[in-house]
Amino acid sequence: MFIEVKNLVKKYKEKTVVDDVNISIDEGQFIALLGPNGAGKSTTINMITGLLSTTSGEIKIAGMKPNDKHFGHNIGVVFQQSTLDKELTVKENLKNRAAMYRNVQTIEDSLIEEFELKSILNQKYGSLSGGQKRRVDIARSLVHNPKALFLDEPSTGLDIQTRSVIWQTLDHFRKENGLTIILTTHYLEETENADFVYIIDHGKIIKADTVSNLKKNFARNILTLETKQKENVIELLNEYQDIKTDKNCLSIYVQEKEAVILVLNKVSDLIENFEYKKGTMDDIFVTLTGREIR
Amino acid sequence: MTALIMRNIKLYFDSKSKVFFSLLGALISFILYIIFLSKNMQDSWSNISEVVELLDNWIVGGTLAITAITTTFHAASMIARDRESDSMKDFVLTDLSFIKIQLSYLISSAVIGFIMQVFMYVIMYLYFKFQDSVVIRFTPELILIAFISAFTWAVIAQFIVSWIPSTEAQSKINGIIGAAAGFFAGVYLPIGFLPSFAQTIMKYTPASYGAALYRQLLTKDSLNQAFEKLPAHAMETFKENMGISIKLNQLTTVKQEYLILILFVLLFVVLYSLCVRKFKKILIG
Repeated sequence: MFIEVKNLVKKYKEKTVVDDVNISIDEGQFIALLGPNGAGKSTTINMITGLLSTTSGEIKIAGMKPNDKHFGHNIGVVFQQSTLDKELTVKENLKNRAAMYRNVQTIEDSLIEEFELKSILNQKYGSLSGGQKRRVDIARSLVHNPKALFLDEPSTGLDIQTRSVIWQTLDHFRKENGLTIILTTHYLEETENADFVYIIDHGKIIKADTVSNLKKNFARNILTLETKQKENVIELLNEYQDIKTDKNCLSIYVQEKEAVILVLNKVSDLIENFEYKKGTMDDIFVTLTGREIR
Repeated sequence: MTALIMRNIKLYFDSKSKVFFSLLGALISFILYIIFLSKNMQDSWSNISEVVELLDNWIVGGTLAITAITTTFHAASMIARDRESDSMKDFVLTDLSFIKIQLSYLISSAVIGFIMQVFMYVIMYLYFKFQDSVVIRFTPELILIAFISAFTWAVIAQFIVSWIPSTEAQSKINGIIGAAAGFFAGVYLPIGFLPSFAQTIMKYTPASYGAALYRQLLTKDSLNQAFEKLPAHAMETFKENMGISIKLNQLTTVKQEYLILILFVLLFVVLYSLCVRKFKKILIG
């Protein structure tokens, strides 16, 4: 295992913020920690990166423990807020941080190209837009060529286009360099590309699985039928318990496509139209925690 | 470490308002002197010859002592800013250890304090040269004093800032320090003119010794000249009242003043090392 977290606990006085968290990650994987605000995601990440002491538990990244010398050399962290100096240019910021690592002399051109920083290199960091800043932040976290990258809610406050650009770049970077990525987020759609998702709530991992398994087991696919003869349709579909009605529509949960075809065949004369929607991560979250994401 | 030191120094000098406000305490003391303190003092010491040269050198000493205090405190408040912006966490994740990071802040504050003292010296030197035709004394030892003062206050500032690293608290502390430094260095009112309780407090701070050290050196020639024809105890009284020497059992000598500053440095270094774990928790979380 490249990253191994065992029985991680963080207590503040009586309050347990992180409760027996276990995570194991292979090199090159993309892992998402999903959970509402205050679930303990950031606390978990801060302990794994060695910024926060643990109450108990064991952490290893590439065989090193957080207290080991040069532990930080293996990891890059993108913080929730920008840590770079707004008074300095992008180039000065990156060079300055690079100089704080041993054996890192220059900023690699590939990094500048990949994150499209060339045109803003000599601009003051403080004058950049939110999306540009985030690109620089990520480039900074990769300046020493780490093996694992931690992103703590990196796209909060960014528009959808910027988010997708960042994710495309990171995805590319991961495939090129074998970078391991650990993301915390409460944007469910960001987890769609992850190899593995840990769902955290109240400091506990309530589910850990691949996205496709989670979808298969917890996402509910919804078939919506548009009809003027609701009563007749309901009668025909008497084996379905949970039927929701709304104006001319009724919807039922149908997981398998065969079942959908069967239903449609049964009621085809009675309906005007239909829609079949696959379940999303949102549904998974609601199913698992019993509530919407906060 | 060089990278972090250079960054801190650059950020300080890049901010014109930071430079200005960190000098404010010193500038106020200098301007107050020019506007009315000098006239007052010249009148009250009118029995002394060459009084203008003596007092000009005296105020330069006090102002430099204030400069060392206020500029290092302003420089050290970078720690608060970097804690609030999580930059401190970012630094800890690099190959720099926490101790090296702290040392980098200390060195940059000391360097800033040193440079600003040199800057203030030059400004005052030029002013008095053209205004009063007085040449402010220069000896290479002044550089040593500037260095030791900067270092002493950098250590103290770092210790204090590490306890309360919030930018809001820091700007208030800097305001208080800026105003208080002039009193503790005995510039607004010379130590001999204060009630004995206030004098006692002043003797427990390094400010009065830093100022005394500067004044001993700067006023050396003009003192000898001024008191040439007066009895020996007149000079002693003047030195004591004006904070050129500090009266402990006897008047302090230059050597003792160096020693006292170094003891203050050692004291705060020890205190700092005792609290370093606590500081790590405060600054990184």
